[in-house]
Amino acid sequence: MPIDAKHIAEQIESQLKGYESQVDLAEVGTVVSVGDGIAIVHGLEKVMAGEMVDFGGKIYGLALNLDEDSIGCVIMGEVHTIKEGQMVRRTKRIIQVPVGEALIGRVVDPLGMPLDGKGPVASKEFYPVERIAPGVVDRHPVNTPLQTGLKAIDSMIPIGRGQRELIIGDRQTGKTAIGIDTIINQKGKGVICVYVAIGQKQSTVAQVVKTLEEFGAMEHTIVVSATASEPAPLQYLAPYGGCAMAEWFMFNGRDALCVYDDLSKHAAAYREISLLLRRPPGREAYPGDVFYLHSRLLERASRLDPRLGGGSLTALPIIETQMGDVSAYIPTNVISITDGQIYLEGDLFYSGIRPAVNVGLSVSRVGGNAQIRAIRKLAGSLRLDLAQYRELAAFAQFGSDLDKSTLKQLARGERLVELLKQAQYVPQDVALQVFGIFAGTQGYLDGIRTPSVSHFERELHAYAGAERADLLMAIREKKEFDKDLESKLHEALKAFTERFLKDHPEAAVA
Amino acid sequence: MKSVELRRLAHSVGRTLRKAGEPLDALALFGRLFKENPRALGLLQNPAIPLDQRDAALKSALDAAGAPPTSRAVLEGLARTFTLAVLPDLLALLETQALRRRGVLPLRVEVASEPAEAERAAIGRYLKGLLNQDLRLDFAVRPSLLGGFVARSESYFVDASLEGRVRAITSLEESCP
Ligand SMILES: Nc1ncnc2c1ncn2[C@@H]1O[C@H](COP(=O)(O)OP(=O)(O)O)[C@@H](O)[C@H]1O
Ligand SMILES: [Mg+2]
Repeated sequence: MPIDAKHIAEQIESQLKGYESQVDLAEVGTVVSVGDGIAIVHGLEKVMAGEMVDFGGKIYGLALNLDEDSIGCVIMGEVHTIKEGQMVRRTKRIIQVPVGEALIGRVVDPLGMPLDGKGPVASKEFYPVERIAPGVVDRHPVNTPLQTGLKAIDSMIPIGRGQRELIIGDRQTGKTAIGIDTIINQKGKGVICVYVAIGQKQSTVAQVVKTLEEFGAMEHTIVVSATASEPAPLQYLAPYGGCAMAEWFMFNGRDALCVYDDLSKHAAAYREISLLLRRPPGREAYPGDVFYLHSRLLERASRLDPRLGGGSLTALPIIETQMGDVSAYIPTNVISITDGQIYLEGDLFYSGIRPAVNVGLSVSRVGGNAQIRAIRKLAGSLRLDLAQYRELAAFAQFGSDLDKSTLKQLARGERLVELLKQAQYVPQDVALQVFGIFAGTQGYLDGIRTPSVSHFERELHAYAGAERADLLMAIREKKEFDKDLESKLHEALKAFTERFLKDHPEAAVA
Repeated sequence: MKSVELRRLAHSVGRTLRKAGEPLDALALFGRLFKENPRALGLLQNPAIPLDQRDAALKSALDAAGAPPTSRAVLEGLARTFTLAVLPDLLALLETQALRRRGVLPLRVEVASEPAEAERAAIGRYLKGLLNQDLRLDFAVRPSLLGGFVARSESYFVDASLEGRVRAITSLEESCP
């Protein structure tokens, strides 16, 4: 075959034509000062807040502070290689994290880099860490429950998929425990969980991972960790990175849950960055836009409209208070952004009421619609009984003579409080919760000594599972908690209570 | 003065002058004056000379130049804080600002060897097309570019140099296994 030289020459020319005219036009700036992991850069006129900038040599920065004449960049990586006068380039990209199925079961840093020694994350897709939250028309009302498996919460402070429910309390009141129990309870329920650890000790995070592994919960969970020893910018990025990873599941029609543990430390990291950027400090030395810091994160939780796949992202932010002060700056902000809060109290915790939920101060503004009917119906009387009990118990302290009905109410309340206690790592199925709470509010526990309540409950659950599976099914599936179901429950409980007291006469009130 | 501070200063001085409707002329005159007569600058900034005498000397110079009030205040302020020496840098920034306000982008263009007039014009046309903006070009020679040119403003960097191509090809090679 004769070689067509002309054709080949044309080919070469056309291939290299673009190359000749190809010059590199970059949007750039100049480092005018550098220190404390922050570079002040001049130029970069059109840079966006949150955009990655390229210092060269594989070192990137995050543009945060957009002043009139300069921008503040947080440097990610080797700070000491950056010099004054050096050129910085725009990347026009918001920081991205790997997303997708491959992250499940992994422990990663806020940029999606593995921390678990299990090799690189095999992910081909990336999401920006910041994203505008779905708009009103893209959202669907919250109507499916997100079961925590915790009686006190699922009954009285129900959480729906796509909701934002704050967990708030002092240190060591069981905040993390509620997040972890909720994650464990999602096993087999199709909810992918992201646990974001911000500013915690390395050993604490390792313990959480170990616990999740022990309960087989890493199979549906991603852990994103930026410990206290990590630079503030990385801690700052952690919840946004975790949120992006969860969003992928939401946008693919699935359900996701994000636990942010905790946003107080996140705000502190942001304050640190802001002080380094010399932003004018405001209340409690936080910069003026700290509200936006958390609102734009939590707004990304949502239940998508079915036409967008109907996925959901539920957010459980955690806030640590100091001596129960919910009126401090960060707590008030986050309370105003969320759809309710689970308020944990040190006094309750130390008196053995665990989870230490203060029912009076805790609310869920949207989850009620998502609750299954049966438990929704019981919740009202449970709340009322407990409220009356709290009032009477305060009164009874003064030792005045109490009439019979008051004593009865006290006894009822005491047993309900006992019933709502729950150890860690034993989430309860919602139908079993109904059995127990029905027994409590309908007086079946009145004849049982308080210390025997948990024994009663255990056996009741065994009985229900073994002999009344039909009722459990009906509780889960019936649209209404009707008379028929109610009378069947009464009948079952009568039979069981009789049997229990016969087998365990020592459990009966003398 | 650190360059961040200088830029802040340029912004506030620029804003004040604009508000007062004063041109840069008076400042430019003194900038030139100090550049050509460093001794005058040295005397004005000599802390050994009593302040009121230095003040008086500057005042009469300002009178002689017919400096308008805001420009006067700026120069007096610089003198009192012993920072008159930044005047050339400050002026450069102020001039850049003024150009930018008129929609003209100042660009520093580096070429490998002294450019001929036709070459300057060609580079100017090319950059104008690329950036789609009026430009003011300052040329400088940097032999290490080997050929072609680079252009730099506050926010743009155009690399059309041989050196840049060589660097691009080298880094491409390095990233090959
Ligand atoms: N329901 C519970 N029953 C028993 N112990 C609990 C319960 N919840 C939490 N704890 C224990 O209390 C301690 C503090 O809980 P943690 O969740 O770490 O608190 P926080 O996150 O509020 O600081 C931990 O040792 C935890 O194991
Ligand atoms: Mg904790």
